[in-house]
Formats: sequence, structure tokens, C-alpha cells
Amino acid sequence: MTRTSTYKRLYGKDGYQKIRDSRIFVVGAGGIGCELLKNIAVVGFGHVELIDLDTIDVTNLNRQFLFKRKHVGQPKAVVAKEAALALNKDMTIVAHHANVKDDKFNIAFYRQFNVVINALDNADARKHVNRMCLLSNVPLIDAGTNGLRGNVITIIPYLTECYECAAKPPPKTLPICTIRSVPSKPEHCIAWAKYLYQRVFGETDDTNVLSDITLASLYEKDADPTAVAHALVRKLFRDDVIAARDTVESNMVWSFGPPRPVELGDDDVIKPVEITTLSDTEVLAEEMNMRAFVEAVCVLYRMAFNHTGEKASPLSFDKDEPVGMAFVAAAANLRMICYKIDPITIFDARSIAGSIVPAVSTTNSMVSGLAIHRAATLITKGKPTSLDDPVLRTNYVTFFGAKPLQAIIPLGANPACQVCGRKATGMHCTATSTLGDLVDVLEKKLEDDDVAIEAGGTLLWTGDETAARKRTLVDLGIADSHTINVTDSDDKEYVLVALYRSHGPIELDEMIGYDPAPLDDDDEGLEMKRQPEPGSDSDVELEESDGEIEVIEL
Amino acid sequence: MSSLARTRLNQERRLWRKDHPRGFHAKPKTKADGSGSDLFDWVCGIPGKEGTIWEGCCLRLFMQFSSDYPAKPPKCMFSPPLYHPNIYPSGTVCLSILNAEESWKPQIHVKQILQGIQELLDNPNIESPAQSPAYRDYVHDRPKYDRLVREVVRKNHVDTFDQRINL
Ligand SMILES: [Zn+2]
Repeated sequence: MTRTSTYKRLYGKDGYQKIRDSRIFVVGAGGIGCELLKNIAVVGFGHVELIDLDTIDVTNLNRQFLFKRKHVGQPKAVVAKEAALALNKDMTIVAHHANVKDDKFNIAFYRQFNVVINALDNADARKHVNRMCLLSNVPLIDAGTNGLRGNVITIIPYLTECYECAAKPPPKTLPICTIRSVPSKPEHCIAWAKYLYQRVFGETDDTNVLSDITLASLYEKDADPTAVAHALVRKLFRDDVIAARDTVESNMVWSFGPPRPVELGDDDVIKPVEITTLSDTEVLAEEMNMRAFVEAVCVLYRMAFNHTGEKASPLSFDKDEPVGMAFVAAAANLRMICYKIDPITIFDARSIAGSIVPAVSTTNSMVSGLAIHRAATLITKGKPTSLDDPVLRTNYVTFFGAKPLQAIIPLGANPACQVCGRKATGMHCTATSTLGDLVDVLEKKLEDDDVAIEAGGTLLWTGDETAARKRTLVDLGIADSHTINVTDSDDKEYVLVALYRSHGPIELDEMIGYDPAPLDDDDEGLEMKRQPEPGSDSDVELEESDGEIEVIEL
Repeated sequence: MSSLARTRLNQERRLWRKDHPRGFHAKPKTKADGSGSDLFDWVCGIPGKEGTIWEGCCLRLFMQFSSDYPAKPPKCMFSPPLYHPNIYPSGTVCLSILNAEESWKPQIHVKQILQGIQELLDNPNIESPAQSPAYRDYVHDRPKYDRLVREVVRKNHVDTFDQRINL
């Protein structure tokens, strides 16, 4: 029995030939991507293109099993391609070490594939691919995991619910007033410490909530890093805390009583402690946190500042960089101590600072198997036309509860969705087409003389200003495949995708998708009403978490 | 880029154009390269209320929307920063309707935000001070506070707003 005989039996001889002749696009070569590619090689798909921006890190090796230690530092897409070809030479794989949002991955690029599979770790890229698939009318299979939970969603443009059909709760952020003035949880202090790191050692950023704290001593010529560190401790954990306690008098409600400054006189010397000797899993005492803070400041100061006191090489925080992490943990702990919150370990601080959920190989493996079977079924049976089609079932994998694997009929495309709930079309134009040309075409087509045209968050045309009429679309930053959003006077939206050609006037293709649902002027109409499906356990958005598990050297 | 945010901001822009309270300004900032205006970055003007010590001024405020808008409120920042107990030294306004974890609701329109901030000018909330100079003066030395506010009004007089708006 050959390897392929199993799949010929499963998908039929003709079906298997379709798989051999298919073209699929895999977005992401991380934890899920590796599993997908292994399955793709084993089944024997004909043509695969793979994209990933990242290079291999040592912490990937425990679960991204196509990569070996010798590959560290190399592009994931390229190494994954080689590893898959080693499993099955009889396929074409194209590796793109690139960003999926790059302009060259345009509508024409997407249209060449039978199926696109998402194996991504962030909502932003997912949304982008979702959008491109809808505009190109190509099915998308989205595989995601979060620890012990995972899901596989099949999106058929304008039939099933897309990635943006249901309103998703925004990621939690902490209120700045709480971070600055009245912390009551370790999370508040970690957030503060990360801002502090950025403020002291990072690029100048006026939006940093601590941008107004004064750090004059830092910028002196030939400053002694140890003196700088001491000054910081006295300012942040003594003087500022006293000021906070006294300024707000009885007006402020402290969670755990008024704050108390650290015990430190102007002449007290804090002895630095080597960062590598700090325990990751024990809570450090006040004094030890001060010593760690001083050491971390000294090290980071020498990295970021030159001898004239200029921040010549600003740093950016990385939870896996031990000194920066020690700085954040120590600063946060000292703040917790001042505000009477129980301090935490460096390990816990790192988890909070990186919002880590550990990635689990078994979950990745399960969703990848389901996703590839989905892709193969879509290719062999063709695009489904009804929501009841079994190939469209949304799968939820979970290691909790009675049903480890659920298959649920998806919801249909939401007419109020921001992506599929509106008409989209191709807009043919040339390098000399002007904004004025487009305005004329739209006013005629939509029979509306009050259209607004916007692209990438820039309002190009509102009818108020006519100066830009003569400028070309190219000049206004609209490249091939870029989307242009048009709203008419009833606030109905239309999406145009720029398709450049060598000559001819601006012409619009036939509109696809739904008639845009008009936005009501009443308040209710401003919110999308659709909620996550009840009982599906899908209220949490699942993604491949970028959590890393320590690689233990044996 | 969230298209919910975009759709809503286009709608806010139209709503404002149709109807807005007298003396207030709000519009997407014109981009430096003249290629249009930035839908996510607005420049606004808030007049001091008549009959209060703030009367006569028009204060410039930047309103920055994120892609999570309207689930999250815009960031509102006076420029230059303002002497006022509830304004952070950076100029950022500390107001419960501008806090996602407090009173912000996606239904709140730009108009209501600006009117809320106008209201805050003469009715500081001493429960949540955001800067110490104005807070201290307001609580302990009201004559000095009033004098410094009048100074602010003089420097930000409504007649000069057109010159200040694009600085
Ligand atoms: Zn949708």
C-alpha cells in the first residue's frame, strides 16, 4: 500500500487528482503552520505557497517541529518548505519570507488559489487575509488555537459569516488614570513599569502616559549610572509616592490605604545584584527588588545612552530579554509594595508583561488535521452553496468538558458586517486617472452628488475641498489592489479595489456582495447587533498564542 | 484598519457637518502633504461657556481615534496642555466618559464629548486630580486659580482661534 492510496480511497480517485491539481496558500509557518505543512506533504497537494515574516527562534523548537537547532535565525517559510519537500518531493512549494500585507500579495495573487489557510497568531493579519479572500472571492479556512482550545472556521465569501461578521470585544486596556495614580492590581503596576521602561530607555514617545515625568539627572554629561539608578529609586518610589499621598489628601480612595514610600535616605547606598542570580519563581523582598532595579538601570543605561548623556541607541522592551524584564519586574514590584499590593515573581511578571498563554502542540496538531481535511474536501467537492453543507461546520476543539470536538453549523454572512455587508467591486484605472475622474464616475453611478472618498484612513474627497480633484490616484497613494471606501449621502458604503491597467477611462466592475445596510441615525444602529453564537464557547477569540514555553536543555 | 471605526467616523463627520453647537469646531486634520485629511485625527475647538470664568476663549483640542473606536473612546488632548485640575500635564483629558472602563459608551457622539469637556472646564472634579498646580490652586488658593484661568482665556481668545487651529 502506498502513502497515497489512503487518500485516494478517502477522496476518490478523481477527487485525489483535483487535490494534486490544486493550488493552496498557507499564511503562517509557526506552530500551526508546521503541522499544516506536514499534513499537506503527507496528503500530497500539488502546489503550495507558504508565507511567514519570521525567522526561527530557539523558543520555537519545542513545537514547531519542522525546525531544528541548526535552523535558528533562518526564515521559517524557507526552512518549512525544505522540511516538507523532504517528506514528499512530488509537490511544488513556493516559500515567501515576507509580510502578507505587502502590496505584491494582491487580488490577482489570491485569485490563483483554490483555498487559503490561515495559521496566524494575530487578529490584524487575520482580518487582512479575510478581507483579501472576500474581495478575491476565494474560500478561507482559519485555524486558531489558544492553549488547550482551538477552532477551525471555513469562510465562503458572502455565504458564511466572515472573520469580522460578529462584533468582537476589544482587547482589554487599562485606564491611564489607574495606571498613573491609583494602581490596585499587579497588572496596573506592570503596565506602569513597561511605560517607565519605554520612557527612560526607549524612543521618545509623547503618547507615553508617563511622558511628563522629569528625569533631568539622566541626561547629564558623564552621568554615573549608579547615581542615576539611585536618583530614580528615590524619585519614583519615595518622593513621588510621598507627593501622591499628600497631594490628593482625603479625596482619593486608595484600595489598600494610603501609599507608603520605600525606606531610603538620601545617603543610603543600594548594592546592585547580578540579574542572573535572581530567582524567577520566588517573590523578591523590597530590598532585593531595589538592588535588582539599580543593577538593571545601570546595564540598560549603558546600552541606551552615550557619554554625553544623549539617548543614542533607544531600547525596546522584550519580555525575553532578562535585564529589561528584571527592570520591569523590580519597578512593578516596588510600586506594588508602595501601594500595598502583594508583589509577584519575575515569572509571573513576565507572563503579565507578555500576556502569555502557553502554546500546546496537541491542539495545534488537531486543528491542523481538521483544516487540511476541510481544504481537501472543498477542493474535491467544489464550493458549497448552502450553510448546511457539512464541509462548512465550524469545529471547536477543547480539552475541557464532555465534548472535546464540536461541529457547529456556521451563521450566514451578516448584512451589517463591515466587510461582507457591503458592495465591493473592481475599479479599473490607469496611472493618469485623477481623483476628479473617479468622483465623476461615482456621482453618475450612485446618482449622488455628495459622496465621500477615503483610503487608508485619509479622507481624499468630501465635497468640501476641491483642491485635490486634479491629483492622480497614484499620487494620492492608491496603488494596485488598494481599497478605496466610498460613502454616499445616506452613509451607505462601497468598497472599490484599484485594478491598474495601461489605458482606458475609469470603469467599475459589477458590484458583488450585499447591498450595504443603511446606518440608522438612531443610536442603536451604530452597533453591530450580532453576538457570538450561544453555547458555542466561542466568546473568546482564539488565536495561536505567541506564548513561548521555555526550551529546557538536557 | 477597522472599517467599523472608519464607517462610524465618516458618519460622525456628516453628523457634525449637518448640525453642531455654536462656537465649537471639529474636523479631520488636514494632512501636511495636502493629500486630504486624516479621518482618525481630528482638530477641535472648545469655547468657554458664557457666564463662567472661561468665557471668551476657544481652546484647541486634538481628538485621536484608534482602530478600536467606537468600542474605545478617542484620546482627547488639549494642545497646548491646559491649566486645569483634570487635565494631565501632557494635555490629556481625564474624564469618565472618555474612559473605556468607566462611562464611555459607543453611542456617545463627538458633539457630546466636546460638550462634556466644555462642562468640565468650569466644573472640575476634585475627586480625580490629574495635575498638581491647578488642583492645588483650585483647592487652596481660588483667587490665584481664577487669575491663572483668566490668563489662559486671554492667551486662547476666540478671535485668534483661526490662527491657532493649524499651528
Ligand atoms: Zn463579514
